[in-house]
Amino acid sequence: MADPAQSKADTVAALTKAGQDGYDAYPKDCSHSIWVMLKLMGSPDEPYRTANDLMRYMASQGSGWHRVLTVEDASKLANQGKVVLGGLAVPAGHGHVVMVMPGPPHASGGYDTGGGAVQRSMGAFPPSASGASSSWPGARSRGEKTVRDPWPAAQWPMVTFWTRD
Amino acid sequence: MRRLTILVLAMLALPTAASAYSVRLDTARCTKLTPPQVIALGPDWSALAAYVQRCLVPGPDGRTALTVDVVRLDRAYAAHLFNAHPDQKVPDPVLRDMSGRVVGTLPEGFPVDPPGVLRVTFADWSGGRPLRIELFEAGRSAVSPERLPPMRWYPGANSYR
Repeated sequence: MADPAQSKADTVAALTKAGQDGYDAYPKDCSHSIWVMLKLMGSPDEPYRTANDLMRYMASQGSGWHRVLTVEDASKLANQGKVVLGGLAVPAGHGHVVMVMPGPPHASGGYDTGGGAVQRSMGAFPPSASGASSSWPGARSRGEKTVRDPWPAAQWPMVTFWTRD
Repeated sequence: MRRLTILVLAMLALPTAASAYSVRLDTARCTKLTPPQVIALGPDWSALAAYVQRCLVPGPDGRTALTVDVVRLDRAYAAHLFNAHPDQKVPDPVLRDMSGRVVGTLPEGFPVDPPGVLRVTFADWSGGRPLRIELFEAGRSAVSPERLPPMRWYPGANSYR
């Protein structure tokens, strides 16, 4: 008989590894890195979608995804081994999407933004994983940065989180 | 009669000219505050006194219509301020009317708040006041530059939201 605690630990470990593998495969491309993560987490036939398309798809009726209303809930679900994505579509350009990684919240910022200047912290947030085409160092994460780091303060309130049924 | 016609036409044109006027928030119109002025803003501002400035927003008649108190994060980052104090609290820019009353706050630092670069335009002027504040995020974040939902003047609340 399977041990539920061990089963949960295995799922959480698999989620962490999927985040790391997705980033390693596409460190400069958020949508492809997330595509890899989704395929590794139980959707081998997942079609590729750009960040804008993925955000639109998750919000569509019948997608099998539903909205997670708070970042705290997003973190709780990730710590149960559930896939949770966060993102922001920019219809006139390109959006960005990340996967919420298991683990305790930690301070955002703290990395070199260029020229030796360290990014200020906006508080504690759950860790994230995603590649990014942007040169902004906060947008690329193998789990060491947080869900808050990719976005400016004015856009952060528009970021939404989603989990699969 | 001719004078009256010209006067009426001029009066009709006035609101149009005013509403067509718009002005960008510009660091060229920002100056440092005196120590007592910074202290009056509160402890969060005092801790960053070297970087606090007041920016003037001219109305259609050229007179200052609003002021915006900002922390010049471009200069704070250039001075590596957050290397030793990454948790340093930074207040958002504060809009004030000419009586000094707070009438709103901008959603992120001006002119920069990495990875954000905020362009702010005061538009749709009426009665010496902009009724709309247009925001454009032009930073180097993970998403394309984009127009953000504007802030609007709510007369009942006497503030921009």
